[in-house]
Amino acid sequence: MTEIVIWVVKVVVVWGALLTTAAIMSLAERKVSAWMQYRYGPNRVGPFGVLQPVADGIKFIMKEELVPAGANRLLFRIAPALSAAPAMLAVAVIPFGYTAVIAGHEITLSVADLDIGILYILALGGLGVYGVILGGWASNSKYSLLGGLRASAQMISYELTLMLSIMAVVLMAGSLDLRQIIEGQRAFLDWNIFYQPLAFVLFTIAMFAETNRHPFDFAECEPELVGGFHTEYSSMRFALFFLGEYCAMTVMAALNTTLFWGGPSVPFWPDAPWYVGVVAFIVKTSFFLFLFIWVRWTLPRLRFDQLMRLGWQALLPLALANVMVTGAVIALTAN
Amino acid sequence: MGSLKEVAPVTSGSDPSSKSGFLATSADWLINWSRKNSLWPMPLGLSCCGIELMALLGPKFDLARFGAEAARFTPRQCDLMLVAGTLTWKMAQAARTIYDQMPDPKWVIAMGVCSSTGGMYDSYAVVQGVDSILPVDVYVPGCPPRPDAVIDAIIKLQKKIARDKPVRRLLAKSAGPEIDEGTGRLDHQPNAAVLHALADRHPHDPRAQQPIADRVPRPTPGDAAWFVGNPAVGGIAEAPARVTEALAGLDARPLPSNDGTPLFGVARERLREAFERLRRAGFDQSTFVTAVDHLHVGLPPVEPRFEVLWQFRSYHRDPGHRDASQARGDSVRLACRVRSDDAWVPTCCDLWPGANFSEREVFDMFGVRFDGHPDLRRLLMPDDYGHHPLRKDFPQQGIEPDRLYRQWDRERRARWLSGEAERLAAAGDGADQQQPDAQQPAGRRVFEYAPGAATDPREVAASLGGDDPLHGELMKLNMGPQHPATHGVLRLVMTLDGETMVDADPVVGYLHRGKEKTCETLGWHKFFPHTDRLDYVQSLGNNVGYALALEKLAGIEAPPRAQVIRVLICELSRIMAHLIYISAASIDLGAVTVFFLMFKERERLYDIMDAYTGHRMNNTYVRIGGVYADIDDRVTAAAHEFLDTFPALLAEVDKLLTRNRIWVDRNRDVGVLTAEQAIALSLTGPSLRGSGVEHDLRRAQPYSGYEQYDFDVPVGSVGDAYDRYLVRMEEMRQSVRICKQALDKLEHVKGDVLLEDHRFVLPPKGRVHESMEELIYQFKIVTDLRLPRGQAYHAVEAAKGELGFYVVSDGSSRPVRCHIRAPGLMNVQALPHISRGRLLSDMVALIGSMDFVMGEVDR
Ligand code: SF4
Repeated sequence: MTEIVIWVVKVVVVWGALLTTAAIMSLAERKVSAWMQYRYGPNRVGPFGVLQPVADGIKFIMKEELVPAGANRLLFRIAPALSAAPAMLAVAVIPFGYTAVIAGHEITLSVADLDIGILYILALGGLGVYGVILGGWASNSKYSLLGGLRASAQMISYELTLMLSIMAVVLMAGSLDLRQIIEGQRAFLDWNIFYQPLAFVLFTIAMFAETNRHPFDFAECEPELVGGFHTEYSSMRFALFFLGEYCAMTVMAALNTTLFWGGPSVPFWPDAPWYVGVVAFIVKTSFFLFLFIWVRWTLPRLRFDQLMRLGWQALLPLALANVMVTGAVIALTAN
Repeated sequence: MGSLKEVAPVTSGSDPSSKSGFLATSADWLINWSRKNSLWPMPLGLSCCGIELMALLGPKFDLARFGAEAARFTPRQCDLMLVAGTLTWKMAQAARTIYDQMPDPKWVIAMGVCSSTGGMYDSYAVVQGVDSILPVDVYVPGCPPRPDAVIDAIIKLQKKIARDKPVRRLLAKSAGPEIDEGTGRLDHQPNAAVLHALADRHPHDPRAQQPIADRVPRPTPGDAAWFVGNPAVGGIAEAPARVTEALAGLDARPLPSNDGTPLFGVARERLREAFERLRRAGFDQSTFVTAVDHLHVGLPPVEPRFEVLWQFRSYHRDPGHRDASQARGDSVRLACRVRSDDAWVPTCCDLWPGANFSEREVFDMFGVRFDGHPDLRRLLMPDDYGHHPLRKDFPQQGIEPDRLYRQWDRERRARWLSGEAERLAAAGDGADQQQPDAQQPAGRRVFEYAPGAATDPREVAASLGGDDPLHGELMKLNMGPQHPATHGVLRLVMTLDGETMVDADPVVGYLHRGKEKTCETLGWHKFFPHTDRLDYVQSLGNNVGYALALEKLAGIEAPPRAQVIRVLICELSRIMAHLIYISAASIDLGAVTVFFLMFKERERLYDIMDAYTGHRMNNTYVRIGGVYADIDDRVTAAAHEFLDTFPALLAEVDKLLTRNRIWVDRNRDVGVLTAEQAIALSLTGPSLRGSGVEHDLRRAQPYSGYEQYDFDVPVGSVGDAYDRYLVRMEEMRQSVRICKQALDKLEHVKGDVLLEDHRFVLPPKGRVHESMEELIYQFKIVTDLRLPRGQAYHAVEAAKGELGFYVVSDGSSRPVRCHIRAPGLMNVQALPHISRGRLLSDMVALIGSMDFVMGEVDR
């Protein structure tokens, strides 16, 4: 019985946190960009405009929904859900802390402890692109179609780099289980970032591409494709795409933390209480979320062929080499 | 409580005391609260007001505070349509379509007098207020309104939303159809609202009942047979030897001109020969092609009625003329008169590709055909427009503008959407059947630009793809007229092979406000405010150009202090314009923050302009014979401060863009134009200098004392987008140098800023208030300024290139012709040439790098 209660509480807390993060991100995006641009940003609703996401959300729910003439209605309607769901599911295996002891119960701090957690995340990440492609195709609009096409090409090329950079970490940990990976990084000097800096850089770049974020946001690419794959979407379905994007960003940031920055490990305090670990995890994840915004408002956008060239000609060989060197070193040291 | 009947009014919230009423009211409140605080705008930035709209999003005004900065360019995701600018009939259908595509609930703010009422454009092309096609919630007066005024409008709109009762509406609505098809509404018939507005506009106009000939009152000049080449006016300019040699044996008659450019009258039969010989003699750029209609309404018809004019420039030095007057020998002008019942001349755009759009414009505006033109369609008016607006018997307010939309049937719309432009459709030529179609070119000839290069889309595609079976499936993509990257209302019909562009057809005219016609109606003086609104990001520079052209015709010169002030404001305007270029180009390539940095800096310039002229933009501060008022210490101090700190910003941009790898990669080798190509395409200004041609009118034909200033003319080496960017960056630094010198000069060049000349120049305002005579003079000059007979062309180096005014006067107070040579139009014209074979993403970089402003392109 308590098992079930604990499980339900974890589910509620994790998904609550994820959705809240997405909402906060939508505000943070506007606030941080404003600060970078000598502006204030939203500040009329609630203190410092914190209720802005609420206002936007209610507005979207109350807005009329349009389906363009000639669209494939079924696909058009399920595409946003297809794009939001994978990220929301992926968060289940992220360990956001070690083991907590509350009222005598030992609780592992993640919704599900899969021993193939990484495969699960990658599989879901691969699914996320379907929402974008289908949304673009079902809209019966050329801009959307081009957006969807670009998304598919981009995702395929960057998924490889992403996987290979994760593989290096997996080789080091010797497991596909995310919990094993953070357990291996308990001590500050065991953090993977010190052993796999190249994999970290590759993962971070691929993370931007994988979440369709600037400077790789070709699927929407406002100046060229107006809104890209979501050009024809209005009201809540449009908001769902955004929700999906922010959730995916959160998952990727959390994954980055987990893989390279020790997850909930606190530097120089190996036996920190579990809640300090959770805070450390949140702080690290927030940094990567901030990085998303920071880059978004600083850099120009690449051109599509440059993106592909970067992916296939620079990142992929590097990632391959990295895996090979890591494997060789591990094999040698094991002997 | 009980029966449904009693509950119904309660649900609507009319009785707050009952519980369900309270719920409904709370729900109303919550919904209204969310709606009013999340007004995502659809920025319909049509023209000058659009620039203020950008300022509104910028650091000083920060619309984001109201949660209303999340501008979406797809109508599906917007709540608030901000119509900022002049809505033309050509644009009206697009605007209405966008409105229809927005989901409910939606609101409209009409920003500026143009969108509220038509404003200063009471012309054949402009909708007299957007409320004739859309419901408007809040009107904002001003031309342009200050951004604070728009914030006020948003607050008013928020109050209006707060009074709404959305729950009641929702309940009423749930009975209706669930899905609104959005675009579906327009599929089978012309939009009722647009047609209704059109039907409304003209019956009220008493002129509609009069015969055309009486509609345009014109003062009768004494000499009905007046024409440009009247030997009584001006002097015959001495032509360089190579011109006389080239035209020898062609019966070219030297005609007098007031601006020192040799002018020759050539018979139509000899024109082709003259073109070819001039081209061989080294005249490699067509400056403008235009026409003058010599009809006087109310007088017996003159024939030959139309005079077509060409001006060509040579960038090759003439070996025979090495003296100081070299610059004057660089241009030659030809004139040819044709009868209205036989109005055609041979084309010259196979020799000068840059003349293509100009010839189309003359055809559009006058109905003069260009025999042999590969693609003779209307340029500015819609393809099926039945009239030629610049003919003298065409009234300022137009004739039955509903023709523009009467044929808006399903087929036409489908063609419009698929981008199948109606090539040569204008051959139908509607209302006036004066011209037989005998000279109509037989079919579309391939436009030979680069000899040997394929221009047919399929050929280009084939040459790109080889045998690859994936190539060859062509797709049309329509970009604009309302699109985030087209900088206003340009429309590009692109043919894509995958993401590779095989053809791009720019469609302009969506902001054609009929300025040239308006000048003929308003008179010389009252046209000044219209010049501001040409390239509205550098208003004062345009003022100066126009004033100089009029002064040339009048034979006067502004006093020295006024000339220094003109240089100062020209250079400040150039900085303003280039800041817009950087901000637009960077936002196109995704570096959004740079846009805000630029606007922060522009705000400081706005403050200087505001202090000096009383308005942020569209200042109208130059007059014939000087400037309106002297500059004071406050302004010079502010200018000094700006100039001292501005280079620091440029250094920051260098960090953010110039040395940014992504920026360099996006711009380098994109849109390469060799010097010859750039010249042939009639490019001028930074677009030409980017290709390495060191030609700057401030140097080549100094005006306003530019020869006394020390500055460099930066040129590029490759001619790609990156070079054009670097040239503009460097020009800003040079402008800072010039401004500093001008400020120093202001210290010791004292004296009046307006000439004392009661024939042409306004008396100083202070005296007008005190003396009867001055008041009369002022009145006379504003309403009835008469310039001497003759014609003159004067060009200035504007931010976009050579901005020229070709003015023709018959000595009366009504201008005969004021042609504006718009550098931006030539930049647009170059787009297809530099985009062929490039990726779709490069198009936005190219649009940015060609840097045009639609107000000037379309006029
Ligand atoms: S003329 Fe320009 S600034 Fe004035 S109201 Fe019209 S669009 Fe706005």
